Amino acid sequence: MKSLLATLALTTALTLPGLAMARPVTLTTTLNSYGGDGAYLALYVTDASGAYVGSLWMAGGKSKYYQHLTDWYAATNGDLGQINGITGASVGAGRTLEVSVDLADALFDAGYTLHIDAAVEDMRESPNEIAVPLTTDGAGTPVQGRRYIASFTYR
Amino acid sequence: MKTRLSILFASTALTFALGHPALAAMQSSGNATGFCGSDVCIMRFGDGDQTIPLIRVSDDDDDDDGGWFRWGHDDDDECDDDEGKDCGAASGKGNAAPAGTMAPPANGLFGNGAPPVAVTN
Repeated sequence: MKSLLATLALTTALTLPGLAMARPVTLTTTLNSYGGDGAYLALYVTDASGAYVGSLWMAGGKSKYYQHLTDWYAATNGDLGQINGITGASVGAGRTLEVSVDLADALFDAGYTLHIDAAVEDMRESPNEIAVPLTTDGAGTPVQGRRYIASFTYR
Repeated sequence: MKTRLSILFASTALTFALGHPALAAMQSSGNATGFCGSDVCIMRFGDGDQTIPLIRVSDDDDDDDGGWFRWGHDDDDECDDDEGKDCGAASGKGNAAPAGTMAPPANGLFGNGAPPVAVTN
């Protein structure tokens, strides 16, 4: 009985920190009706110094177009290893992309910024279309983009 | 004697039958003139009073594939990922692995929970 309790306590102690270190977050991006093809979107994070930390999502599957996500491409040199397993389809005009991720708690209220680069075929590139600090208070507050993104929210 | 005459008659008839259409075509063939501008070539074949213009519009050589805001139309659409061919970005490594086919990158952003999932409405 004692060993069973000890095992239970141990597994609980090992599990709880893992649960507390991340939180489920939904990243919602709604595009304008800009009248073009599907938009490529790169969602990525920089630290307090502006240095690239990592990517959260890539909307758009053809790597030959990633060079048009200019800031993301400059930071990563188009390294596909940054987006393997987090790449999906491009997003049509007027559509809403909802990405559900399990984000590390350490990203919030620590100077990190979430960026979105956007690009549409035969239309202008829009690097850093969204740049929003990751804060607990900022969750749920819509942010408007400059060209293609009508609103972006994380919660 | 009759045989020789028959052969001579037959060869004459055959020559006439084959040669007359060719001779007629040579006599009725008109002239052809043409000129080319920078992008268009116009040829005119004359046949008596009738002229039939043949206009060829050139669309090669100088296609403008790359306005400054245009995507790189580099005619390498064979690289489309839906065709399953190995090609790709400047890195030449093909396309990224779609979500769900492998774990997300270990960049410190993701927790140990469910892998990222996207839905488009």
